[in-house]
Amino acid sequence: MEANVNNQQESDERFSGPIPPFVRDLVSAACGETDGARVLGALRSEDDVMSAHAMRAAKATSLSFAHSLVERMKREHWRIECVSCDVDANGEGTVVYEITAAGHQFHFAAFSQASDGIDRPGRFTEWTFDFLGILVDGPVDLAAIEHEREEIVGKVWRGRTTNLSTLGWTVANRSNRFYDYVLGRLEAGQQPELDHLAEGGGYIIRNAGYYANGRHGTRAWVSLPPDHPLAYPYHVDLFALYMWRLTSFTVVEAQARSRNAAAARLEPGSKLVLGVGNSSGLGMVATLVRWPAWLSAFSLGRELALAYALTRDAQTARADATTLAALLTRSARLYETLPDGDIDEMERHADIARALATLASAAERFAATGSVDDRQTRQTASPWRALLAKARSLGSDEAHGQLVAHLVALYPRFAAAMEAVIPSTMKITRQQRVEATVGELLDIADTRYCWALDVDRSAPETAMYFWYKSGENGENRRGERAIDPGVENETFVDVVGAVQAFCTVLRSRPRDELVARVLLDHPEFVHIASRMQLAATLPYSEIRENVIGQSFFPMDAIRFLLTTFGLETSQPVTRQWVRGVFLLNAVLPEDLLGASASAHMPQGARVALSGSVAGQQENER
Amino acid sequence: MTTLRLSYPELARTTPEMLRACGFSVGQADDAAEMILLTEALSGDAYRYLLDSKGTTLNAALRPRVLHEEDGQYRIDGAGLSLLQIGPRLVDLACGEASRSGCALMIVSRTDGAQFAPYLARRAALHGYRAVLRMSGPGAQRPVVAEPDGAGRKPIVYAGMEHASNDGVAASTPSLMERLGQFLALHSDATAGHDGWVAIAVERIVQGDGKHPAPVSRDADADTDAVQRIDMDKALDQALRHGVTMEASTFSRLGELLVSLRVPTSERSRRQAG
Repeated sequence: MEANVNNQQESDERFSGPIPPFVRDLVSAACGETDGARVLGALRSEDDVMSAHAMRAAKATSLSFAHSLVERMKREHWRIECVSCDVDANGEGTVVYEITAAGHQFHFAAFSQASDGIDRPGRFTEWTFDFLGILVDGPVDLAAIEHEREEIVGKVWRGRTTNLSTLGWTVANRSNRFYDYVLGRLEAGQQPELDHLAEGGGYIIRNAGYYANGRHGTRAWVSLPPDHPLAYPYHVDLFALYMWRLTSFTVVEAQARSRNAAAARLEPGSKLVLGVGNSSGLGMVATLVRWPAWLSAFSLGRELALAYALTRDAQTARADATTLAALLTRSARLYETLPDGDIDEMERHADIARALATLASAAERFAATGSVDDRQTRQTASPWRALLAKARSLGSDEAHGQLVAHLVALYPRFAAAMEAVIPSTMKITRQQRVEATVGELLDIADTRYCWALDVDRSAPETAMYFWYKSGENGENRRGERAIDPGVENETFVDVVGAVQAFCTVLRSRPRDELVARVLLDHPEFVHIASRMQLAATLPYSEIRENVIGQSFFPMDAIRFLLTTFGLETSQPVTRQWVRGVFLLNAVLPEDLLGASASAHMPQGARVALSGSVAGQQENER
Repeated sequence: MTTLRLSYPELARTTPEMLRACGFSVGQADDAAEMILLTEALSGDAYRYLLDSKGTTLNAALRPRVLHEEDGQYRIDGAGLSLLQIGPRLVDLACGEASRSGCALMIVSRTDGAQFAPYLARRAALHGYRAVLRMSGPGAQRPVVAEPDGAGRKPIVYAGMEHASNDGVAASTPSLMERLGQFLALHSDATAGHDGWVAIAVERIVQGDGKHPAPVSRDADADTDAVQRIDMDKALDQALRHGVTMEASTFSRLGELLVSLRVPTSERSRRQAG
C-alpha cells in the first residue's frame, strides 16, 4: 500500500447514501458511466456535510445561485440599460432600467426616497424603506409602473390582487455613512477611496427583502416558461439584488450631478468593489427544515462537483495545481483583510488566512514535485483528497470550506453540468408511499436517522428553544421553551423529536402493518413519515443536528444558505443573525456585452472567490 | 360583493398555516392545504368551508375509529370529522390495503366534505391506483372516479357512471363500482341514517393487464351524459396563471385565522429575532 494513504482519510469510504436515478443519469452524461460511478462513490458522507460545523464553514461555489446567474448573464449577453433617471439633489426620484435577455424583455423600476439620515436595518417588521423596486416582465410604461407602486404601497400585508406581469418587488436601504461618503466624493469631482469603502463592508445599499413567487400577488415562479431567463431557481431574486447594486450607482451619481453638474461618475473600478449588503436571520433555518428537497438540492450539486474534482488522477490534478495555488493565495490575502466579529465560536480571519497560505504552499509543492506532503517524497496518488485532509489537520474548517469551493471552481464544465441537478431536485416533493410498512420505516430510521435517534433528549437544554412567528408581520423568532409564551404555535423545526416520537409508536406496532394504518390513528406523524421516506431516496436532506437544542447556533445554517445564494464572505453579528455582501466584483452591464470585468479591477481589490479560475478554460490550463 | 384575485402560490404558502391554526399537525396541514387549494381552484368555496367547519367537523383532537377491518375491507366511524381532515388518511390506507389484496373497500360513517371527493380520488390515482368514491349528500348519485395515467402523473378524474355501460370509462371501472355497490348493500345500516358517509373502493392496477387506462374513451375532453370530466390539472394551471378569485370577506377571515397562529410581540420577543 502506498505510504501516502494516511493522507487520504478525508473520504476513502464509498458514499452510502441514496442517489436518485436522474442524478446518476446526469453524472453519466457529463463524464461517462465509468467515471460517473467513481464520482458518485466519492461523494462526502452526510455526517461530514450536514453537520452544523460543516454548514458554518461552507463557502459560495460556482454552483451558487448568484454565480450561475451572472454566468448566464455573461453567456447570453444580457443588455441592461437605464432608460429613465430622474433623481433630485436630495436623492428622491425614479430610475427605470430595461433588460433584454435571451429574446425576453423586462424592466426594473426603482423609487428612491430622499435621504433622511436614518439608518434602517431592513427588518421584516419595518414599514418604511429608502428604496422600493419593481421587476416587471415585458414592456411597460411609467404610468403602469407607478400604478404597480401604488398597489404595493397601499396593499402590502393587507391582501393584494395578483398581477401576472410583476415578477417581484423589493425594498432596500442606504448605508448612510458610506452612501454619503461616496456622494460627497463624487460631488467634489473625486473617486471614493477603495480602502475606505472596504472598511464599510463594501456596499452603499442594503437589501431589505425581496417578494416574488406569489408573495403579495407577484407571479408564480413555476408559471415562467422554461426558456425564460429568470426561470432557474432564485435567479429572479438574485437579479433583483444585482439591480439594487446598479441602482445604488445610478442614484448616487445622479444625486451628485443634481448638486454639481461637474460631479464625477463612479469609475468601473470603484463599482466593482461595491456589492449589496445583506442581513439574514432565523427564518432561513425554518426554510431549510421546511423544504428537505431544497436542502438536498443545495448540497448535492456542490458535492457532485467536489467529488468530480476529488476523483481526478494525479496527472490531471498536477496540471491544475498552480491554478489552485493561485486561488488559495488570493483567498488568503482576502481573509487577511477581513475584520473579526465578536462571536467566540467563529474562527479568526488571520488563522484562516494562515491555513489557506499553507494549503497554497502545498498545492505549489504538488505542482513542482508531485507530492502534497513535505515529509513525503513519494508522489501523491489522490492529491485533492490529500489536500482536503491537510486542511482538516490544520484545524481550520473555514479554510477547508474555502478549499472545497476552489476545487469545485477548478472544473467549471462539470460544475456547470451539475446545475441541472438543483431545479430537478428542488421539485421533488414529500410523498407517502402507501405500500410502506412499519418495518420499512424503522429500517429507514436505522439507516438514515441514527444521528437523530442518538440525541439524548432527557436534559431540558436539549429542547431549550422553539421557533415561532411573531405578531409583527410574521417575523421568525426563537423563544425559550421554559419561559416564553407561544409554544403551542411553534413552527416545525424539530426533526429529532419527531423521528424519536414516531419511532416509539412504530416500535409498538407489528412490522408488517401498513404505515398508512398507523397514521390513521396518529396523524401527527404524517409529516415525519413522508420526510423519512424522502430521505430514503435523497441524500443531504437533513441538517444533522438537534436544531432546538442549546448547542445549535442558527448562524451555522444561515451562513450555509447564504453561501448557497452566493454570499462570498459573511460575519455573524449574533449567533442568530448574519451579515454579508452580495455581488462584490460581479460584472457590470458594460462587461456583459463583451468587455472583461478583470480589466477594471483595481490592484489589491477584494475579489470574488467562487469564480471559475479567472476566466480560464479547463482545456487551456 | 367585493372579490379579490389572489396569487395561487401566496395561498399555497399560507394555507398550511391556516390549518395549523385549526390545530392540524404540520403534515396534516400540508395535505389539507393541497386539498383546499385544488378544490378552490376547481369549484370554489373550499376556503369558506374551512372557515365554517373550524371547531365543528374540523377538530384536531378527534380521531376516526376503525370499527371493523378484515381482508382489505374497513368499516370506520368518522367521528363527525370532515374529509378535509381525515380524507387523505383514509385514501392512503385504502391504497395500501389494495397493494396487498388487490382491492380495498371502505365505508366511513359520520363524515362530510363531498366537495373534496375529486381531490381524494385523484390522490389515489397519483399513488397509482384506480379509485371510486361515493358520498352522501347532493353528490351521492354521481360517484367520483379516478384513473392513473401510464406515468402516474396526470390522473384522469371524472364524475358519474352510476349505472352506465362501459361507454367512456376503463373496462374494469364498472366492476370496481359494482363491488362498491355490493359492499354498500352489505353495510346499508351505515348509510341509512342522516349522518354523512363516504364509501371508497380502490383497486391495484397491474402493469400490462390490458386495463391500464383509456378512461374516457372517444375524446378525453368531452363530457357525455354518463361521464363528466373533472380536469383538476387544467384548474390548477389556470389558478397558477390567473390567480384564485375569492370574496374579500372570506380573505379577511382567513387573515384573522393566520394571525391567530402568531405570537404576540414584546420587547423580549423582539430580541429573539434573528
